[in-house]
Amino acid sequence: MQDDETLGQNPALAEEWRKQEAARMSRLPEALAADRVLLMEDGYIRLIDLMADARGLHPPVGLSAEITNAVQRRVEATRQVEVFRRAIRRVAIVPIAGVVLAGMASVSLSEWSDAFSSMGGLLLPLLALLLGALPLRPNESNGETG
Amino acid sequence: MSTDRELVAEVLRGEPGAFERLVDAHHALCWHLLLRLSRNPEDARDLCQETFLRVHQRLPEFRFESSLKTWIGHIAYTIGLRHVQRSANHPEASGGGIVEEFVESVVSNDDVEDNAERAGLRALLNAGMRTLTPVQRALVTLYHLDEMSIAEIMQVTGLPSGTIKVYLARARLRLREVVNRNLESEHAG
Repeated sequence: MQDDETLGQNPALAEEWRKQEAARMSRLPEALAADRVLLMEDGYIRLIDLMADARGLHPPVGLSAEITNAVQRRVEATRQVEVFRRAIRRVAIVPIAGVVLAGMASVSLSEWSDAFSSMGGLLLPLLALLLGALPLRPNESNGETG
Repeated sequence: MSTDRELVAEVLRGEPGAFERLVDAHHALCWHLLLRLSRNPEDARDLCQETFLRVHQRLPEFRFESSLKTWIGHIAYTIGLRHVQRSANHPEASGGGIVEEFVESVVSNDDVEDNAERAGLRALLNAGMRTLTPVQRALVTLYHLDEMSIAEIMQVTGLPSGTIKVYLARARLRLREVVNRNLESEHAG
């Protein structure tokens, strides 16, 4: 905020402010050509000056850090939920798949030959256990916000 | 200062402070846009967070077909416009319409030292902004405050260049009318 008091106390800031003003003024012809001014009957108003002066339009102090922290918190929360969800799926799929495949195998027992079906009855639940223990998806990047 | 490509690569590699730099470089544009669209500072804060969360999620898909600034601006514009539509359907859920009072209250702290005429014009400008549609407010902000080119605004809003120019011309005409009318009434009074 470049009020007179602040500028008076800080020559470096005052110099910077003068440079900014000079730069803004040097862009005036270009702004005029590009309709970036509000032409009035008795002159013109540079909209950017008026809008930029409305300091409420400047981002509040600390907004950037606030956004970064909020995004990092939400990304971390999402990552933890995903880890939990994958763990639950991995744990749950073993008994569910085992029961389903064992059931399928036992139904087919009546149709298969004794030797083959007894082998299948053992192999299918074992296969289900193996599948359940494998990762469901390749490891995903957790997207550090760093 | 790192380029868009360097910054994006750093964020994707998870380098410390990279995402913070990205937010720092682009949060002002999002704030201007979302404050003008939502007309509520608290909503604008939440929408800014939503915007950058979306940016973080989608950054791996960014293909540098536009600048990072306009890509982020487009996400903010889309989120802001959806908020405006939601608020129009549920006006009780939004504290809309308080941005001008907010802006004027912040400005008023400096009015004592400020040029009175300039402060008056600012108030008139804000009164004029109140009469614009959300899209017109967004366009005026992007063009006049953030000094974006028409091509950049096309990328942010997805509107054709002719439409943007017409909306901007109408918005300026409307602002001029409001300012002139108020100045005349002040002089007459």
